[in-house]
Amino acid sequence: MRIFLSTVILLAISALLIFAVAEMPAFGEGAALAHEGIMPKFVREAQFDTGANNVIAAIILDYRAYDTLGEATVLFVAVVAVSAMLTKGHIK
Amino acid sequence: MVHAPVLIVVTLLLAAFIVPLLYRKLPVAQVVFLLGIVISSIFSIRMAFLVLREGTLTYYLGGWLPPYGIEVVADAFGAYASLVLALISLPISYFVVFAPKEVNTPARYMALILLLMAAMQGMVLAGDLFNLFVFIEICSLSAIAIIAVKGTRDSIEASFRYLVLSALGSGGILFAIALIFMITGHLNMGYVRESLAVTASLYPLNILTALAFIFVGFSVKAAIFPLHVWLPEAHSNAPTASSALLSGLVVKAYLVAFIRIMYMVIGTELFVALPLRPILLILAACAMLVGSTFAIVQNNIKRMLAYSTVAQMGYIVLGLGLFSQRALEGSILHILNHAITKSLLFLAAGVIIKQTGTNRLSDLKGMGRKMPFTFAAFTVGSLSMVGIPGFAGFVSKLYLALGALDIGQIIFAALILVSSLLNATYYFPIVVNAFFGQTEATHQGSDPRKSVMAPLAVFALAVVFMGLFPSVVMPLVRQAAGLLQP
Amino acid sequence: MTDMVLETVARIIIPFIQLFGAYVLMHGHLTPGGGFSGGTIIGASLILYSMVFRFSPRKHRIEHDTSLLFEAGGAILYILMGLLGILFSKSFLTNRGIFPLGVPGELISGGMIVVITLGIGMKVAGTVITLFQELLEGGGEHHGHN
Repeated sequence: MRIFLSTVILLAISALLIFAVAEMPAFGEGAALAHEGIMPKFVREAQFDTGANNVIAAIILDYRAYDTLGEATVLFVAVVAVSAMLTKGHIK
Repeated sequence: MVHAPVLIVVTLLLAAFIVPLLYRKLPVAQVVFLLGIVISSIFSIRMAFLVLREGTLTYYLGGWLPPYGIEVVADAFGAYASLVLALISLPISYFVVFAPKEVNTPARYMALILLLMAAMQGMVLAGDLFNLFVFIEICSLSAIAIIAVKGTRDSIEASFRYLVLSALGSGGILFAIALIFMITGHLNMGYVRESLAVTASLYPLNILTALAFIFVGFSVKAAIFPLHVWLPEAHSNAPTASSALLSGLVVKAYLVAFIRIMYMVIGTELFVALPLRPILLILAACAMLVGSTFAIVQNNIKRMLAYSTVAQMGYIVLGLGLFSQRALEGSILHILNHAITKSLLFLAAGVIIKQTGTNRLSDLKGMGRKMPFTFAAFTVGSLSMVGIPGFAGFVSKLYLALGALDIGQIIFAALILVSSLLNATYYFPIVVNAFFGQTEATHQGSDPRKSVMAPLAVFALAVVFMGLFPSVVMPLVRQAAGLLQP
Repeated sequence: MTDMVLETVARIIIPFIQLFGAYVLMHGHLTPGGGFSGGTIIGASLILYSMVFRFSPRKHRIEHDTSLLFEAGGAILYILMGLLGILFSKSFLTNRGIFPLGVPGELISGGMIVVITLGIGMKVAGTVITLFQELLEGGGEHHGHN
């Protein structure tokens, strides 16, 4: 019963996802909105704005540096969490 | 430019990076920990006043204007949530420092709490979808970590279950953000909304999928009814201060982020057009009834409180589903009132467990006479939970009920009454038994020293204060509710 | 237990791995790569170092405090760079207008990006080696205050 239910639910979700994918604009299509939004500026002006040749570095470390600070913090959380859990000791 | 919206987060992060370095000098680490919390709270309080006076504050990271850079938006709702986080975190961090230690590695535990606070503050102020996701990630991980640090078998099992479900939720949210970015080409919430107005008709199925994944992802994280299964174990097996933080703040921070996505990205018109409101109402009703029913049968005090959180999250979601002005005000006010009350109850429960050595409700008969102050604090919390006039919980429940009546939904007003009665059936016996039960209590125990009691006293006073003078925060709450309902 | 072949090969190969890591780090703003990848490469060399030499009589290993210092130091450097922006009454994490951007394509260009890349590299290398040693040895010694 449980397997039957999960199969039905998963099939329904996959059907939805397949239809959603069918509706997506084709990858790399010029008119796709993801390319029209903010990308052209990054490609054209990143070098002038940041002085970096690598546009990816310009985006992640300048335009969106706050996000990268967050991503670095995720690593920090992982390390602190692991060392907090593995450290042996006694609670008095 | 007012730097407060970003300095709130950065102060906490900086303190979090410094604290673990000082693990050999614990007193210094504690000072840095408290300084971080206090300074960031000052920024938060200042920001709330500014927002109240001058309206929404925006901050452009790195000077890049949206849509290119990251925007932090402190509107009335975000500032209110940030204020709640700051005010609740102050007594809890005092408790972390001065209460008896429950973890092996106090310095790292404090660092994790700072990271959790930073992530929550970032989440409720984010104006950019991917920025929001980054903070959700930090928040999930550190919330799991502060459960697992207790190191008992149960807590590790609970945190692992939380980890799996939470990662699933994060994945769903990330997928939804990717879909939205594909459709609109923007990550900034304001621009996404503008773009959605045009493109929604072109890609209806994609938007529906994105909304479904956002809804499910946040339901897992905010423990909205059918996806709350991780919550009772996780919240009841955590160290005391973690339980208070998790139940009081973390689930609500996720809910606030979800609500902000609803009005900043999806837009109120689309929210009303979709059948989201009836779904929210049904889920809220189930949460209120099922959460309370499960709470009644618990014999473990912290598990009972955790199930009560499931029910109380139902109240907040209910106000959202009702969507009338007063219901929204009640819902937003309940975020604060429940945060104060549940933090008080969890801290009191933690103190009771520590002093008596038992977590079974049936063992607490007559303990109220041995630990009068702790149980007095617990009683204040219980009264607020049930919704007795004069205590915080009453005000927000009244607003919710009036909001339900405003739009003619008498059944939901009745539901609030029934749920309050259910609350009474599990909170009052504890109090009555503690003070008037037979004396032959099998367990020893006494009130802890004053420094441990101080946060409980602060929370208890806050509960009474909020019950008598809710008008202190009402201007901000009204503004926030106004944002949701244009 | 020591293994001469292993130690000799490690002695030869580790400097090259680290040099490559430093290259990827320092050219993060010019070529594909950057803080996360460069830091991981350096971290991998440190893992090799501590795997090979921790059995040697002198017990070479990277001290827990040192790796933690790298870990937190990188992040603190990042935040301090951001705070410079506020100090000069611009936004947090401002690059243009505070740091000299230099000529695009030269090693010293990109202003803040170079410094932040180094910070992230430090941090990621610290993360990799800390996680490895924590999982290997079960964390630092007991230091509960109680």
